[in-house]
Amino acid sequence: MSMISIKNLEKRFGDTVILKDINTEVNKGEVISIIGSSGMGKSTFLRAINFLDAPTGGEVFFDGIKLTSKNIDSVRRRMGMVFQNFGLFSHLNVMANLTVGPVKLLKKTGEEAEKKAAELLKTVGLSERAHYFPRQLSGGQKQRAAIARCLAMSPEVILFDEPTSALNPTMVSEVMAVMRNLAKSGMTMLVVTHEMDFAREVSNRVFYMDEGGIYEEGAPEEIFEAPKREKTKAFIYRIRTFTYSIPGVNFDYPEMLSGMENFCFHHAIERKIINKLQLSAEELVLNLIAPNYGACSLNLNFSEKSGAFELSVSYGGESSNAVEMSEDELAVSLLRNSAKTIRHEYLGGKNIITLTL
Amino acid sequence: MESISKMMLRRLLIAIPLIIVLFAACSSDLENIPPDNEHTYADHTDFAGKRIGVITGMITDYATEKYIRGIPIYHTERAAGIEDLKKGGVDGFMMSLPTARILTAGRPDAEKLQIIEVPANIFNAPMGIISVNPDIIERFNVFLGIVRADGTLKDMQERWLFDRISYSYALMPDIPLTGENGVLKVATDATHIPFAYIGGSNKLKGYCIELTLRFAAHEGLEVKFTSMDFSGLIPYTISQKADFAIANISITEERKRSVLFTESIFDEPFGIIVYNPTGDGSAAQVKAKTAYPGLNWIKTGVERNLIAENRWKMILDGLGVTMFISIAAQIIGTLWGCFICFMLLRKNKFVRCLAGLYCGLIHGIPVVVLLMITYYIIFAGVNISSIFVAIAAFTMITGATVSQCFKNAIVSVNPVEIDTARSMGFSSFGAFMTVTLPQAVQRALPAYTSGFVKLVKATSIVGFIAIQDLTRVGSIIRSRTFDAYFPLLFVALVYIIVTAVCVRLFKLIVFKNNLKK
Repeated sequence: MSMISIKNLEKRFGDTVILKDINTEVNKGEVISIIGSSGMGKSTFLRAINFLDAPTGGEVFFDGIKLTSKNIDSVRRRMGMVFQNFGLFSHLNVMANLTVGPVKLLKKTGEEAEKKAAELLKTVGLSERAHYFPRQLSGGQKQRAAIARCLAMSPEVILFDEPTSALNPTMVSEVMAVMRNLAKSGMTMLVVTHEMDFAREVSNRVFYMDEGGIYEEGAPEEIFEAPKREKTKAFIYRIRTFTYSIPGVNFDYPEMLSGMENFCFHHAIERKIINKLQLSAEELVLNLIAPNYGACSLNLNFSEKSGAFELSVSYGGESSNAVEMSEDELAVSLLRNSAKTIRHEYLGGKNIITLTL
Repeated sequence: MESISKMMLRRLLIAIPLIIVLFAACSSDLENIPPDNEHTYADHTDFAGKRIGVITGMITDYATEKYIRGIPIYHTERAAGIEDLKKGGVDGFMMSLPTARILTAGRPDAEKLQIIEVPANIFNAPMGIISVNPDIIERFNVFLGIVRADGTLKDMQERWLFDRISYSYALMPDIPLTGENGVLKVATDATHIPFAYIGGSNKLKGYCIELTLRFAAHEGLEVKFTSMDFSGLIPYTISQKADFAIANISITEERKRSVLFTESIFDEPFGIIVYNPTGDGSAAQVKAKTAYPGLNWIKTGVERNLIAENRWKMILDGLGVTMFISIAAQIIGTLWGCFICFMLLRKNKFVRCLAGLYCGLIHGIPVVVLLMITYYIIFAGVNISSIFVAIAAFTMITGATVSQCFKNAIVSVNPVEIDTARSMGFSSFGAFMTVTLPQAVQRALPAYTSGFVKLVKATSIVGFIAIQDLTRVGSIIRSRTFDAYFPLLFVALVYIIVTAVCVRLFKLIVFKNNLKK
């Protein structure tokens, strides 16, 4: 049964389109992790769902109700949200933080609310801290209190906006533990996160967000073990890329080399490997491809995850393997020496020679 | 709670000894003035090129330059001027001769003060009554003719102005007023003995007062006096808040262009007081008492300035006026400030700019100037008590200050907390009441409290518009006793205690409210 359904959702700030044409369904009991690089609109997506940043186009349905700025307050009571920076009310102690919503919004009696709050604080391990003020708590404790406060409203869905990003590593696990338990209890959750382990192990579905929308989605195994689309791969394998386009045979060769060097320094790559990369690029571009085929483009990929390098050069024309066809035997033997594999592909009218190192 | 009271206690513990030390230091200062000026003066021609103290607004500065050929140094008070004279800040102090005689006679150091009289043929200044109403001038001139003819005027001048020692015994004759023809509103400066001053049982006395009462009796009128700073008399009269003003107002051609004068009520002679530390002053008619050391000085100060003629009652009244203005302005100003703050936080640019402009305007004008503008321009034609004018002016100021303070407090509340409240289902008003307001109040409180303290102190200028507040009462007492230090320090002490108590009360009230929540 679909709890939240999103149709053609669009969000723009002024002329900048952040999200466009998002369509998806969230079912009851699902735990969805939303991953992606910074600035891809993950948080905006969550905030658009509960209208904190009201969408500029499309529709959001919650339990069959179409959300509008009129009915949003009553819907939000059923749809909690946990923020990166906790948002505990700093003038109230932990207990009051948990009871203020139920008392003022759900019209519960103070006793009822406090009883429930005490139970919730126990489940998040903060019974001892009920009368502390937020400023007296550690980051992890604050976030657990914030989750408990959210639960005090008995929500049907909880939106988590990077709940552990503001925490130092030792505190991440205590918050994660609470969230895991919550997921086990069957709570419907949308979690924007950078914790890949959590996304992989706890969630039923993973959204990878890029290009203003859900770029790829699937079960955690699919996204993490076998991502299909290019940007998902780059993100999952943490691939860093350097490209340099070569207009013709008389290109600025030193500039290309220094560009490669800067890129390598940036990712703390050893001198020995830099030399090897520069040498391979020199042989491949300067001696084999540029003189015979003219304009081409160099692409250096480095996977931070596996430490593997991939150097590829693409050029136009008929299908032709520059390494095989070359008569420069010295250059070819040098290349074969330094590369693990050399591959030639012809895709969409482009030759691509790929060296792995 | 405990920390607050401890802090206050500590502050008081520091402040009170400080004041006592100050008192003591001043008292010893009175005795140990080094002899400086060895020069002796025989007559007024010896003052050419010398620095001569004068009172701002009086004719003496003009006389100093024109007839004495000295350099005028402006003072606002006679008693403080004499202290300056003793320290060598001025070489002589020029003032009305009757005043100079009383002043020197009443002082413990009288034998060291000498009066050099300015001969009447060199300079004397006819004093007149000012008004904008030609009818009043006409009637007063007629009255003057009568009292001059029957000798009453001469008798009054003898009693008030030429009897050198009887000022404290000078009794106001009982002049019954019928009031059948209405009320006469009169402005005067009640700090100028023996012309107009506040005497025993806090009643107005003096030459000018008696003359006014006689005029009123002659005309069948009741009199309502308003006392104010000398510099306020002319604007007060021009704005027709009084039927006429009577004080040592010299008749000059320049002044005649702004207001109407009666004929001279007294041709005022002048004298220059000089200080001769070796002490054989010829002016010393009353034998000076010995100088007061230490605590004795405080005791004498209390007797002279507070107990004599029940002056402590005046202090209490003045304090009441100060507090009434401050508290009323704070309460109304807070409401007004909330409204301005509401405007400052609107999205509408026009409304925001309007509120910003108001605050900028109010903050840009000195308080005194704003008060006078309110009094003489905004409320010019309106017949309301000047206390309410002061409240209006200070309400405007408090409104601007409070609105800024509230705005900053509201803006400083963490936006994530507001987002959170909204995400829980609070409406934007609900989130404001639940999250923003309680925090803003906590944050605004220190600035708000200190704003009130500043307000209490700022009200000390209301003397400019004829209100007898604490500071003004201090001036009046000084003008009577010519004691430069004691009333000043005493008034300071009263301000300190009152503001400390107010801060304490404030915190107590707010703290109790917080406890309830």
